[in-house]
Amino acid sequence: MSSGGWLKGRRHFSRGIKKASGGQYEEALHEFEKARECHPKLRNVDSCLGEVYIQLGRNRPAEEHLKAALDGDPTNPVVLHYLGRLARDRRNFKAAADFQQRALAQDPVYAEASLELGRSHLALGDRAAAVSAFERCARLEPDVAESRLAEFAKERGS
Amino acid sequence: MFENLKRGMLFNKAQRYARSGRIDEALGLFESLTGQAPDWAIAKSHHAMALARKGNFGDAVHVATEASGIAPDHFAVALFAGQVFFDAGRLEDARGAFEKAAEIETDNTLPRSYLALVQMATGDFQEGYNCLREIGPERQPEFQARLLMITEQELAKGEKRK
Repeated sequence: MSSGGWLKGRRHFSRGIKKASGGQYEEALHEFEKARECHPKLRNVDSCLGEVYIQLGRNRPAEEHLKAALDGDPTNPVVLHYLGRLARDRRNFKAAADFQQRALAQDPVYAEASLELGRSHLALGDRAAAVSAFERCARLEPDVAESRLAEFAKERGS
Repeated sequence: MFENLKRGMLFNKAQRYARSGRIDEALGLFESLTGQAPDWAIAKSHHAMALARKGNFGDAVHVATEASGIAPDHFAVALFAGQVFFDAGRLEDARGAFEKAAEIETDNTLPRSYLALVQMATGDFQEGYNCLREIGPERQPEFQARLLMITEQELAKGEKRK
């Protein structure tokens, strides 16, 4: 593989990150795909593609890319977290909780993983475990409940 | 005298375990402490909270009720009892305990915030939400966790309707 391909790929990858950070997910997708074309073994492209597909609501390709990312990096907490979110979307709450627990084992201060773990426990009817996970999340992100409540109020228009 | 000091140290250790999620270890210590000093209400309250954390709501409610019987005018005992009842889904008992805590410390907003939470959980979500807004933000993680639980339950209901 030529270093030119790697450099070009990195450039597209960086652009993709910028676009994704600005909420331009279709453009980000294009840049990440280009990055992969230039250098198929470029690190983190699969996890970024997975995340962007999630943002676009396209869960099937998201899962494919996230699984590929996990093959290359089995303890990546972000990838585990997103796979957990997808499992929860499919209402497979047990698998969702398992993914989030694995994410938290790698990164104990991952607030979003705690929040997702709490949701999965709640869906499984385990209130004690849900409170524990939510408490862990609230210790990491003190405003999380308020912001979820604000989302709820916005949804209801109150 | 040294016995009390030793107990105090064990109590602090048990609380640290509970806060860091080492519930089995915390439970072991709380059980030993409440065995040595059966009238120590606040230790019983913490024991009850640890039991609830473990999902053993039956024993948690029993121990929290015992603690309230020993120290009926203790603010933290009433507040903990309310939390245990709330987690166990015994919302009317929770309301009673939080009302008691609000009576004991009239200036403290925490029991009133919990009362608003009970209102949200008993079906009057909007009214409880309005009360919370009036009281102002409450950042205690234990409260935030329960607020998250109620909010997530409501959000899940909304998702199901969609």
